[in-house]
Amino acid sequence: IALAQTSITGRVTSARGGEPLPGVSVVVKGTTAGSSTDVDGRFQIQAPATGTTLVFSYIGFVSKEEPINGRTTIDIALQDDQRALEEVVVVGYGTQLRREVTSAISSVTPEEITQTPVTRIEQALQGRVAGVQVTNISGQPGDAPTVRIRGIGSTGNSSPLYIVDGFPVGGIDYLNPGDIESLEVLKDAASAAIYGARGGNGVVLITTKQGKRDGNMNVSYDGYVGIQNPWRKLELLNAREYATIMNEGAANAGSPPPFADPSQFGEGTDWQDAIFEKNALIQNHQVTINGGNEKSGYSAALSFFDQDGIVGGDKSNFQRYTARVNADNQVKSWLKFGTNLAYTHIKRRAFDANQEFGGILSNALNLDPMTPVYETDPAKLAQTTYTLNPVVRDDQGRVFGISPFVSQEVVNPLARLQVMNGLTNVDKLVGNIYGELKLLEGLTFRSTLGIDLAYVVSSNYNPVYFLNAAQQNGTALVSRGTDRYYTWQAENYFNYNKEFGDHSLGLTAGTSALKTHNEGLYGSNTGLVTTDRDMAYLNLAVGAGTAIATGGASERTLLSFFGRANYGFKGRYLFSATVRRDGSSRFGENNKYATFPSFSAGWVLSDEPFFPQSSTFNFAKLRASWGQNGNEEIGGFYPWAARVGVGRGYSFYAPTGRGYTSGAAAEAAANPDLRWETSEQTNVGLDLAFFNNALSVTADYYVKSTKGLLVTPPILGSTGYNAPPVNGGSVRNSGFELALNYNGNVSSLGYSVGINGSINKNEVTSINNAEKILQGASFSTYGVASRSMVGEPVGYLYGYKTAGIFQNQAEVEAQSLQTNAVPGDVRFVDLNNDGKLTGDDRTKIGNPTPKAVLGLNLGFDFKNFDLNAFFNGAFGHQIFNGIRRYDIPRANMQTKFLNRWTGEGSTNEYPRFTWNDTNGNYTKLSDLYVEDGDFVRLKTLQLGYNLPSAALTKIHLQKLRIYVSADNLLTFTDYSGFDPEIGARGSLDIGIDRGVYPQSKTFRVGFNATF
Amino acid sequence: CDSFLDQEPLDTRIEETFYKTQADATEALIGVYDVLQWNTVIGFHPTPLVLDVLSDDAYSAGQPSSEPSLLQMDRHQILTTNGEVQGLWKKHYIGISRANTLLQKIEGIEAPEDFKKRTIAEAKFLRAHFYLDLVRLFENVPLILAPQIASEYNQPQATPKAVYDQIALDLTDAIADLPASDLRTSTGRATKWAAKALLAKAYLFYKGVYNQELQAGGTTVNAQAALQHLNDIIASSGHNLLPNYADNFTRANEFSIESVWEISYSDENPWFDWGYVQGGEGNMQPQQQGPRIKNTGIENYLAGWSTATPTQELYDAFAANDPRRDATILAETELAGGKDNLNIGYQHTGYFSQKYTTSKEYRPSGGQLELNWGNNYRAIRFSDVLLMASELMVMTGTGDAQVPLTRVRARVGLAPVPATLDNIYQERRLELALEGHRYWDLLRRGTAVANAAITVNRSTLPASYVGTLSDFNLQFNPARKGFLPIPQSEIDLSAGVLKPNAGY
Repeated sequence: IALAQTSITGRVTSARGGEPLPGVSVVVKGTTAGSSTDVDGRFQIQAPATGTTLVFSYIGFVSKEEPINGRTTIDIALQDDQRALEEVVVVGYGTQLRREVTSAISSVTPEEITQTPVTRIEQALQGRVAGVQVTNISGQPGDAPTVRIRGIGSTGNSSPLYIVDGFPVGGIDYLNPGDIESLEVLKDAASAAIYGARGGNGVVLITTKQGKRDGNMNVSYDGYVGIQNPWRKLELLNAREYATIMNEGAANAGSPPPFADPSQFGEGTDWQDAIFEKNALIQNHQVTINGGNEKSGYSAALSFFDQDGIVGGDKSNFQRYTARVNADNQVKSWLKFGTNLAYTHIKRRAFDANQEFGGILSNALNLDPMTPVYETDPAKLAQTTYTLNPVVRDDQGRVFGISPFVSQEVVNPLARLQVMNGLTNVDKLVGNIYGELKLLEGLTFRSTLGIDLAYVVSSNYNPVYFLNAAQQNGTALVSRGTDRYYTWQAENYFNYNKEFGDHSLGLTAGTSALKTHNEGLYGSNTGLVTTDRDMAYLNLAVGAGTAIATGGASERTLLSFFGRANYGFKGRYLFSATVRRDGSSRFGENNKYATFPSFSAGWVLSDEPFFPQSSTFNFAKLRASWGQNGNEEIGGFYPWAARVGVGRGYSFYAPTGRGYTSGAAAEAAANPDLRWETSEQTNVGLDLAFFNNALSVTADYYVKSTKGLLVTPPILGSTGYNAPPVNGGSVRNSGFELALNYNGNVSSLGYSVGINGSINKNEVTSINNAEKILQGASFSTYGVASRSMVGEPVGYLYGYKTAGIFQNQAEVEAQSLQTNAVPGDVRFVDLNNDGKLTGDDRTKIGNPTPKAVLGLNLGFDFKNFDLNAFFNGAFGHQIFNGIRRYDIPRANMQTKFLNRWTGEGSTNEYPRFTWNDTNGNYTKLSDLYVEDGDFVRLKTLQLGYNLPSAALTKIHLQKLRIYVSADNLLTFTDYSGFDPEIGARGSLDIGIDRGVYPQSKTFRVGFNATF
Repeated sequence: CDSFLDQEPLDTRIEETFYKTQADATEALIGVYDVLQWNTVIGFHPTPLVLDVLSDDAYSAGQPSSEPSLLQMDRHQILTTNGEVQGLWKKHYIGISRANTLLQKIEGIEAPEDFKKRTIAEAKFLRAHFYLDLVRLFENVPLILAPQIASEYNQPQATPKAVYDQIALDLTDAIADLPASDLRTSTGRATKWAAKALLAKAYLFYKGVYNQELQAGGTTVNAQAALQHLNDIIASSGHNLLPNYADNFTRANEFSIESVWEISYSDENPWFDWGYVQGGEGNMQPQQQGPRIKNTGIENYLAGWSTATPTQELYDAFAANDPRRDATILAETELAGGKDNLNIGYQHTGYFSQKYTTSKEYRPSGGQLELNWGNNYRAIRFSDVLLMASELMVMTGTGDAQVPLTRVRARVGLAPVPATLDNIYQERRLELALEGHRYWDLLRRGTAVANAAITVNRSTLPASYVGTLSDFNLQFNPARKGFLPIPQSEIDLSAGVLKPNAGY
């Protein structure tokens, strides 16, 4: 029976931005009659005017059903579903509806990744995921940030496992951020247990963009160009102040003043100006082609990223070229196959970004302002320092100045840069092929073979140079190294999903096998026959008898079995259990296999009859989980083995003068009991939604204990063996996470607020070596600056407590602790009250790991404009400001030291300055070095503009967005050094500022265009 | 599936499969030699340097902040937690352990008998070498002669007698099978003559401190026997004095005819790793002792760290016409740029070693400059053999003690002095100064002699010294008899099985 058809028109827009949505499918419910919206979001459809419902659906948006109720015009706003609870989240070996997730999984949407462009994927996690702490270790291009999920879980490797398209990759610097479709962080044991022995530090799951099977082909360009400058410059003494202070230091040491009349000096050399690049370039360009039909889809992208450092010009640079093809094909209704393939080329020049022994920043901050960048004074150039030594010149032949005052590793930083020639080239291919077989309704079988192949070629040329008497090189050396890494992984698993009435069941079972092989070849020689550093190849290095070739190889394997069962009753009571059994070649003979179980449950309260039906409070779910994970990243590839090391050689007599012969000896005793680190975690969480999902709230509390940390307990020296590592330490992390998201609008102004924060408490609960201590960072020549001990956080700062400054002779004489003290010296605290100041008086003087981290996202859109502000912050931690080399008395210093003690009552904070620090004011590491590291940073501020569709049609574009953005525009911190973000250098060396490469303030202009 | 997980190291052999062939045994033997040239393992100080700092010939000259361990040794205020002391303990036992493993495993190796005999002899020589330094430094040490399994790790200390007797036995065994050649012919490996000289050294120290004879298994090693070994070297080895004393420390005269035993260093394995210095072949002593020169262009030396500065007392002990003074000590006044061309270090005396120093002829050709000095340590020179012989002749009343003593003085153009023990000791000090022998020579003459020599209590500083009086005044501790403490970490780990040394 044909009902009377009415013509209905309308417009579909996005509920968030209000922009028109083209291509939305509009269907009369229960029929095949349908239409779709045009470029302006308008549609027209014939349908019976009453008793009929229209269904609006569009990828990425929540479908909406709208009864017609006699209307002829229907305007609809669709909610984008990225924040909705119906979103699908990627879990290990499958996907799950967000509302059915019973563990702690956080997602970062592709919009969040691409909207504010990041140079590395890790930065996309910074401040966006509660419980994930991302710290930039420096501003140097290509330096990987430190990522910690729910605290520091190990005294060894605490980095999460990265899985890209199902394949475990060691690092993600090869990935182009623009290629990412989704990013999930598995935080609790229940979600990560499907990765067993590798999930102990959390898992980051990344899925790259797949082809859209919508019958269209889209070509888009995304790119930006920007300039970078240091966000901060330190206040250092100028030449006049330097001369004054040095004269004072000499006088206090009983030495004659080195400078006559300091007032004659002016500003002197500003070494920071000398090393900082102005407007260093950063740029990124990407072209993506995406498309497909109902049978197959493809996504292909090319990208180029280039970042110059703000220090060191071409000696600090990162370039990345990527090419990716992802394709899939539904061959038959029961057979699908596909491939993801990415090639990356990276070219990187870099130096040690946080180094007190000869770091570029350390040099710039410690070198005196008296020394000129270039020495031009003929009298000085006639001195033997310049005439008898191979001094360094720049490309124009100008001679770099050499300081007559500051020595050791502190040299002219530009001269040091001039002789640095390290370069690394990486070629990497990561890909997989998969096939998916539909066996029965609800039962699929998937088989994947993945590979990761990388060649890393490093080269260096160390020319003959003289930087100062302590820093010289007499023989030019050319070196080259090639490392080849490959990993293959084969995985086969079944997924079964079925609903029986009120019951829903999901089962996963499978196996995984993985093998990694590394091999390296290195060579060096002297006698380069050319002075052209670009020709520093071994072929042109002809030193007789000095060629060295070496190399090595290693291999590891992992064999795993895993299973998962999800069960839901009425979608209201949810249960999940997983188990993984991993065998690893890294474990000792007695512990080859490990089993990791987990259980979790969820209860959707809002589905209960007693829960009041309301749009104000529309969703509530309680979650609880328990599980165990492992950390297999322990002590190299063969930590259990009693290796017989070579190179235990001796130089025997030979008439030729070359009698060196290699020898062999056992390195350490074997430990067949060696095993993984186990982390056990309990999580309870709550998901809430209000105002029809406009406000969502997620809260989690967790306790995570990691046991079996690798420690090396000393054994008796009389055995003559090195101690083997054993499983003998534990760490506990507990914390609270909260994430709030709100989307709203005030007429056509849309806005969103996202807040996430987390608090973590980290505590070492056992260390079974003799000292019950693990030494952490050692700083300069002064020794240990941090360590780990039972009852304290990992890597806490360690030193003496001070109690102000001796103001007068009476105060000095009133004590007997510091016999060398004079007025103006630091008063140290005899903490154990034994009447002596010894190493035992050292204690905790700070914690370098933030107690709380916070992220805040503010988004606004108005008509075609959008504005996004992203803040992040970290609180409750301290930084060890080790910028100045106190062991070099004539090193320059920050101007804060002008507030030094100059007489009774002048200050109780900074001691007098003396060249002869007999009291150990600074040679004793103390809380004088420690500063609060709290900060809040406006990480990104971005303003975008979408060209209106009318204008677009004229230039044959579907979409064009132009934006300007600024990174690190504002930073609020009391920390006096370059940057309050100081990541980890190694696992236990955290928060020690040795003159860190600062972050840049970056301004960018960018375009996103879809053709 | 399990075989998939059984990954053995690809580029590294493991203990279970090593020690099978003659080549393996040779490699393992070289691995024992390797330890000879290690520094203190924890710290960058070779043993001869530490010994001179302990003696009255040199100050530590390490900053209190950066080198507290060495300074404690200089001042004889050594804590049981002293890192370098622990390092010395470890180093010697690593050498012993490597020798023990080889001596056990060689039984099962297929190889010609003469190869096995010589390998065993060299391993025993080296084991004796390590034990002799160890027992002289620590006195009460566990005597471990075979590889241990975990349950055997905790061993009590042996009596000094047991350790010295084992040294005598190992050396006596080694003498029988070592080649009677000079060091160049043996390519620097142990010779019969080196073993004989070392046995005489062991005897003199043991006799001096404990006043007992050594027992090498069934054979007694007394003064007569020790002298016999030395006479054998003098008469039959072909070793001789170099015409010019100072030539001993030049590159051209490594493994010279005067070297009866020498520990080899080189820059042939260019090394960069500051964290594992002993992995290279360089000698840290020159870097440690070289003058801290500002402008190296005008000097014959590269910049060192001015550690172990010689004392005014040592400088003054030489007669003005003794050429050994300038061959031993570099005075700052001898530098082209003088004192002005120096960064003044802690405990600056104005003097530096001239024997093991950063002379440019030794400039490393590769690797990190500081870690690759090739200066060989001339461990036992022929003049030492002559002076030991002279001393034993006086002790036993056999032979003409004057002959070897006069031979040593005549080489440097000095007139003879009577062959009294005092004159011989004085000659040893001058002839062997800054070569690591002085401390033993003091200790074996009793704590009173050591105390008198080492304790410094000045009221004014010599002109060339820089610093305050308290930097240079030292107090020997007779209760400790000059021995180092058993490391605290070892006592703790042994749960009381190891006992502290007297005075600690």
